[in-house]
Amino acid sequence: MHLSHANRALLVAALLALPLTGQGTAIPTKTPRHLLHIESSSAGALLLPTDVTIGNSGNIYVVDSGNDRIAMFGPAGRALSTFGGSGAGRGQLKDPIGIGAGRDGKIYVADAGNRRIQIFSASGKFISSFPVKGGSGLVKPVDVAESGNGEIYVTGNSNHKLMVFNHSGRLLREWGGEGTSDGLFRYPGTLVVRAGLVYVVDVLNTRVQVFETSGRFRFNIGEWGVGPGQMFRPKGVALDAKGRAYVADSYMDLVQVFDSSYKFMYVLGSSGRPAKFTAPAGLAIDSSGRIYVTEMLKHRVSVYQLP
Amino acid sequence: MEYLGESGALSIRAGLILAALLTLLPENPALASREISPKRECSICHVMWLTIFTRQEAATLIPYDPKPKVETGKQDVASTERMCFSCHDGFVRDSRFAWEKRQHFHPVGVKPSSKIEIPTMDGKTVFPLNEEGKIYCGTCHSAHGIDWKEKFSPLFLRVKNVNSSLCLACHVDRATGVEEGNHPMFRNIEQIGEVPDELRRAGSKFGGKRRNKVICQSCHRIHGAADEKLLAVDKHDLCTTCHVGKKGVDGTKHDAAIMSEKGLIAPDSGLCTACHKPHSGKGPRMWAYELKKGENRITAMCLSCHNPKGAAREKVVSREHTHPIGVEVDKVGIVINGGKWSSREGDTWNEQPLKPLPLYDRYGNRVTKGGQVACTTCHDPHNWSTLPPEQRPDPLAEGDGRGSFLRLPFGDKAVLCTNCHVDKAMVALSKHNLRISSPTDAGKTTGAGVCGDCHKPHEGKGPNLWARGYGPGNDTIEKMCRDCHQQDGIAGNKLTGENFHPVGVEITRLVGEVNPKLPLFNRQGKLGYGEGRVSCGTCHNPHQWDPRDPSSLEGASPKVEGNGQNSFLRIPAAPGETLCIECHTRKRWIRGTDHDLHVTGPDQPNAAGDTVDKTGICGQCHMVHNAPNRLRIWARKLGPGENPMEKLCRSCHDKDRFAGNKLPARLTHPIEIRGISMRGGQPTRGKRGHRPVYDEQGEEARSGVITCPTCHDPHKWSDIRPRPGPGRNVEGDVRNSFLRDARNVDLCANCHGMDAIFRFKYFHAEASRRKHRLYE
Repeated sequence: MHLSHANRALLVAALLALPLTGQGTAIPTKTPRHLLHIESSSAGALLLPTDVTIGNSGNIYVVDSGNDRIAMFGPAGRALSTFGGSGAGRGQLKDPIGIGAGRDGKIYVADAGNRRIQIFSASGKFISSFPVKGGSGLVKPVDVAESGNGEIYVTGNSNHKLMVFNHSGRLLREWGGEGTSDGLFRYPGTLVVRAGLVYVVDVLNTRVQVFETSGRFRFNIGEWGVGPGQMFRPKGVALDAKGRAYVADSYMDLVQVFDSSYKFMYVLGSSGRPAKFTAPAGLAIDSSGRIYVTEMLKHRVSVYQLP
Repeated sequence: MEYLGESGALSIRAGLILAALLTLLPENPALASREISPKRECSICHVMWLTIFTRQEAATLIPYDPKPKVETGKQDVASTERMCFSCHDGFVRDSRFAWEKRQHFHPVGVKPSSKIEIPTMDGKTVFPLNEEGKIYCGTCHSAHGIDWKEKFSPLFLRVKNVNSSLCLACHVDRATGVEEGNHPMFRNIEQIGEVPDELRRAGSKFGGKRRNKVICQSCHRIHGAADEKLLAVDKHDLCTTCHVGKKGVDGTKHDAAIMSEKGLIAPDSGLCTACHKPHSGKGPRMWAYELKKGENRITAMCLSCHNPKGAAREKVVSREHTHPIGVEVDKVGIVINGGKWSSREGDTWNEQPLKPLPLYDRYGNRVTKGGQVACTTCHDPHNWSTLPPEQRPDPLAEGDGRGSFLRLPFGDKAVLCTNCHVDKAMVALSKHNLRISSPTDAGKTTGAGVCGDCHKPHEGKGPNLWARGYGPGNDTIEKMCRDCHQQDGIAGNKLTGENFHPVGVEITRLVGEVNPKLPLFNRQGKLGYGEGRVSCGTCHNPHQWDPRDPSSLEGASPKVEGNGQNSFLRIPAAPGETLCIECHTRKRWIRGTDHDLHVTGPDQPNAAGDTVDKTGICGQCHMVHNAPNRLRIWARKLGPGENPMEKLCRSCHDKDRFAGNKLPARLTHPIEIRGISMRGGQPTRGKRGHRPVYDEQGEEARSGVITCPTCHDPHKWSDIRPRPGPGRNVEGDVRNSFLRDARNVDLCANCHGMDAIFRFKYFHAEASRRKHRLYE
């Protein structure tokens, strides 16, 4: 393309005057009811919270990643205690990311910086840990979930795989690898194991992949883009009692909802405007239909009653 | 899916816009990766390149805003912090540390200061600013800057940051070296130790192949630093992680935090920044203040605070009566060989090796040989005390010999001072150590140990860094001694009495006899050899009890009585005559004569009851202190006589006295006759053939009585052949017998004419007197 400088400028000036932003159709939204913000633990202000889970007793466990600790709150959000602390010793944490509550009441933490999974009691007492060793060595874990049958599912940041361990840390199976095809990942993030299915956020592939616990791919939720039902930086996933999937997007600052057949339903928000979260990451939904959204750059967990 | 080319749904308008924008791009194929493309790998960051934004009917979850106004200013959406964090939040890459201490980033959202000169290449800036001319993430970072496969610097930096090269591209003024007042760079840290664990844990980096060279990131972290200066660890601790030996400054009066409490420096300064600026200092050692010109640099550093207007104005150090600086230690006998110190004065009393103290050249650089003394030769400004922690004095209290930033203790053993002044070390083992002689007075003057009882290294009261008061006296030295050696003084029991060796007198009184080995002084107490006045310090070395055995402990008792062998004499006065003849050289021939009581009266005591072995030869007739007689500070009971000099001689030469066997039949020249000790109208004193005559007080005069020493020189057996005596009692004749030169009898001839020789020869005989009517 060879245009004179003057012609180039003229063309640019003319075309830039044209309207560009799509006016588009309205964005479907549903309004959650705001309940509370959790901003401080018993040890101080939260710093870059990355994930949240709900224990059997209804207590809330937040990964206070900037402080290398887990902050525990009562069901109403009252700060109870913390555990962890910076370090590589037993029960200590380094740059933790994900957290999961087992049906046995134990709390599982992806101790990313220490390349291990740590297991605590519901009260935060250290129980055990095991290194995250995939088929190719130590792996940085992102999230962890316990299936209820003694299997521990772990997403691996550095190997782009989903790994399944038993409680003693033996690798039972793994699948995935780096790639864009179904079944492959580019930076698997948080995960949920529910009813024999494993929901894994595939961050740079901008989707949530759903597998059977055996590793067989079932289907995807979401796709690449910035439109409704599309994802740009999905980080958190949670399921409600009706099987609807909630996916947090940490760049677009919103939470989208997909029905049990994984079709886009709406965005949490009101009047066609998405509710604004600030860098949302891990999500959790409790049995009473409350959604917990970690907002990393607001250093808080926002709690809403789902519509 | 809104991929260009996949959906085929590109609107005409969007296509035109895209085409127009493409025309703005450089045609350089190397920059192809920067071409606008909605391809997924591009729009992972360049979200606004997604074609959905061009479709009017499509709803988007975020608005189209390719250059949003964010905290750092208006800039491309692809390089906003939020875009970076969307991957660097731990889920893709983990840079959470940078956001954990978000306030301690390299400044963004600000315009570069005037000191920064951003480099350009081919006319384009290497480090672009945002739309508002402010620094933003994309100033340093770019996904396009470095090959993604690059293993060495996988930071998406615009240029490689090998050995801080990226930092220095803009901050070149920070790496100009120590002479420009900057912390040294690219220097091997192993020169002062290993890379500290604390820095490793904090993420500090070191350059070079062995990762041991100091670079920008050794001290600074660009993201998530400990403080606003982007320091890797807290400013209070940073410097001392490497400079471990300087940790002692913590909590002292040289600690910036302490100084800031007094409002002397900025309260946010780090531990070391009271004195040092790691960048843009005022000269060597990154000094924080302007240095006074004309001073030695080290001294100038100290004086930048220790001056009447400085931060340490409470501790002003003037140049007057302060320990000299800019001098070489060779002057006090220190020999430096291979970095080790020894002394020409010998070993210290405890035979401990001398500790090499820092010396400096005129530029303030530390040198091992040929260097000069500076403030920091004695002082270590980073350590209040060398004592073990449990013994250290309060670092904020007034200093004494145990603290005061001294490199060596300055206490009972005077280690610091005597590390150079080795010849003064023995004072600790003498009565001049007040801890021995007067413990209740010790430490009261300056609180600085043995030496500090008399001397003050700064702001002394006078010469010799004098710290005490002054007593009566003719000159400063005597006054210094008499501060203690006076009635009601600390040494009031050690006085010189009414009759003592003259002090404050010009040595020229002893024309032709001066030996310059002993120190002389001017009235102000300044030392000089060969000229000056006699003072206490001429004969006495107050720092050493026994000149023969400096390490003797005999003087280390308050009750010890001295004699001519010790008593702080510079040279022993006993059993020989060594000390006295240093000045009274003409008296040296007394040794071995009958007047040497080793020969004729070893058991004979002087007036003080001391025999010659204790007093020395001279001390049998002369007492330097507390003499019973003023005349000639005579040490014996006077004998009978018609004039003072005769009485001196007859102290011994009288019946019933121990030299009674040398009592002439006829004694003195008639008292009525006065002789004249002149020749050709000129005094003969000091000239050959001089025959002294004396006034009524016994002082030598031009005219006076002719008495014993007119003919006899009691210090010389033979004036014809001067030499020591034979060491045994012998009978003399006219050629010796202590007679002045018998060949010169001018004085006699003035009256007796040709008869003079006879009269001289037979002066003490009966016959000689009968030949003249006066003897009848």
